[in-house]
Amino acid sequence: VTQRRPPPPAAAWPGRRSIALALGGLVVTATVWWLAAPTRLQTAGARVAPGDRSAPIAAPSAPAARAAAVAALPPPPATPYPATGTPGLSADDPLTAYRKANVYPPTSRPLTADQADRLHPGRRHETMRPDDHGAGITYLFTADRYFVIGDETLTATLDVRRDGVPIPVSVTQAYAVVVDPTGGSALRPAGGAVGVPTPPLAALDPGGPPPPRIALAFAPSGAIQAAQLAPARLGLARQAAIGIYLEFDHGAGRQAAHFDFQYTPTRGIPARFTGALRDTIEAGSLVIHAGVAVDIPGRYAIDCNLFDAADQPVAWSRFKGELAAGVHDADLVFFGKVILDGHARGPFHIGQLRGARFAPGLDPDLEQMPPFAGSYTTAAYPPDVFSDAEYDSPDKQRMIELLGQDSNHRGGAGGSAGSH
Amino acid sequence: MTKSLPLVLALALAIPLTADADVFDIHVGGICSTDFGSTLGHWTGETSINAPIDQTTSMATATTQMAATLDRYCTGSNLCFVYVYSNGGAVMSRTLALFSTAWNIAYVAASASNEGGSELGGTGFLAQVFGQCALAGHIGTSDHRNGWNHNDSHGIVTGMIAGDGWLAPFVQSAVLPGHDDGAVSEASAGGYTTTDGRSSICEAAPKFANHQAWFSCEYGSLNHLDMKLKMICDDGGLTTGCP
Repeated sequence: VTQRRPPPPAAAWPGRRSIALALGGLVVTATVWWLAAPTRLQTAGARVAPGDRSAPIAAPSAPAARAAAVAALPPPPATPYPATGTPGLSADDPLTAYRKANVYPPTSRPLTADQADRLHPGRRHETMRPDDHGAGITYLFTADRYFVIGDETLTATLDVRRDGVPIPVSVTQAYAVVVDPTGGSALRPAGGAVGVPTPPLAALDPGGPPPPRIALAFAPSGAIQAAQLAPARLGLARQAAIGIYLEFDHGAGRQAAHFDFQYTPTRGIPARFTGALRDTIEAGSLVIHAGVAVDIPGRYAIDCNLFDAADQPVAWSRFKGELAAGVHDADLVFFGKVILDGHARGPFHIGQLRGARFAPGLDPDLEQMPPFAGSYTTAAYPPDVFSDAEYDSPDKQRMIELLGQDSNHRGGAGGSAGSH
Repeated sequence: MTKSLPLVLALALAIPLTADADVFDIHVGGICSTDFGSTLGHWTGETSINAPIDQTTSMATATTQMAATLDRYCTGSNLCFVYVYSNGGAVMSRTLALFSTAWNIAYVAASASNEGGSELGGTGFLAQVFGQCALAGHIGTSDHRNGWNHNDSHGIVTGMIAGDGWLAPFVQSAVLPGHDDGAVSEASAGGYTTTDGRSSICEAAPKFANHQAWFSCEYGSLNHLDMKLKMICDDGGLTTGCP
């Protein structure tokens, strides 16, 4: 009689073999994971000490070391980069650089007296320059402002000199053009030979300044030439870039020049500051709530500077967010650690409160608000209301984790490993 | 418990312990370009992207396209390294300043950046140096320095390099303050907050927040065209064809 093997039990899955395979697989997977990523049990910020990429990592098979890895102390605080940058070369590895760059929030940072771009928004940046043909003259063609709003007037000036001394010139052409980002192909120059500038005016705008051209009348004003333009008379409906084009004869030849400015017509103003301001302390930071009357809802960017009781710059802050139509507060957060690190004392006051609606898809995509012309002073908060804590956020922790996983790129530290 | 244990184990094996993070190296070209070109850097296990950014018409258009590129590659568990050249540096800076999205960008590596605008924007050398496109006439110093808050970089560090080489038609260097690569001054390429002339991007003077000099204080013999691939070479993405 042949004795047949009994059939397997009805509950065949999961059987002992499956369990054994699963356990084996788990052990293998866990081992591979442990060997490949020994730092995963550390806290995100403790993976690599700043400035110490060679810090020893817990050996995978050493329980004591593993326990130490789990219980690793948080990294020492990062020292922030100076507000105005570090002279010389920066050789920080990407993770260290990121940590130093994010001690303060991205939109609430220290402000110093030499940060001209923050303290003088809207200032023009043209400088005296030599003529294109080497005729030995220098000239400065610029204006009194970059942003013109509503009924404001732009004053354009031309200062031409020989050996540093102003000389008389005749303006042979001068006009304004509303910039058309699609370009005016009919006026596009064919291009000149290398070393020879293409014809004046047309060469100033390779896209070609399209018609209509609004004639400008330059006239002597002291030692320079000046002209005024009130863009309101153009009847524009919304934000526009306007180019000013000019050609002048300096006696030894002709020179062309050009600059642009931004104009916001009254009916295109998206929102205005109401003048209602108040301040609070929230989570150890100073928050200035700026009232905004919004006509055109959308995404807004609003900037503001903070000064201390001695009128020294302390911090800049930026609100970025959606604002619906109506009156709302734009909250400008001045981070507590920025105030404390700057040894600033209140009462604080604000300056350069300005903003714009950001409208992706439109061109120009920034519609300016009239800057706040008033003043506002906060309460005289004692230093102990401000927090000395470093900025943190889920986004920051995610970046620290991602940067900790990358080994290909070393950035300024050098030695990145490419694939060629 | 006896029945559920194997199931738990099976699930444990099935669930990845960490989500796979893809790394993208985004390349952004310069003025009058629509992409970076055919030569990209390459890093092991990563994907190089030739960003389709139209820099022929306006900064607004380029900004929107830059944001769309970052939305596509630099979110979730992905990580991006962004290599920008010339006016691409301005486009990237503007995009970071205007959008609120917390893209996963490790750093921006900028070669000969026009972030601070070029003095050639008001001269007759535009077409020869930058090319024949509408945007070339509107990237001046006042336009770029007033166009956005260069200090709002989402906390992302921008490493910068600059050249001081000669570029035809040569005489335009007299228009650019301080040292320049024939198209942009080191005041722009070094991330300085003013247009004052610089003799090196290591000079101690105010810079936009989180902007810093990498690798060299100045490449004295490299002009604006030479500089295009230099940052990628410095950062390990290319070993051939490097200036």
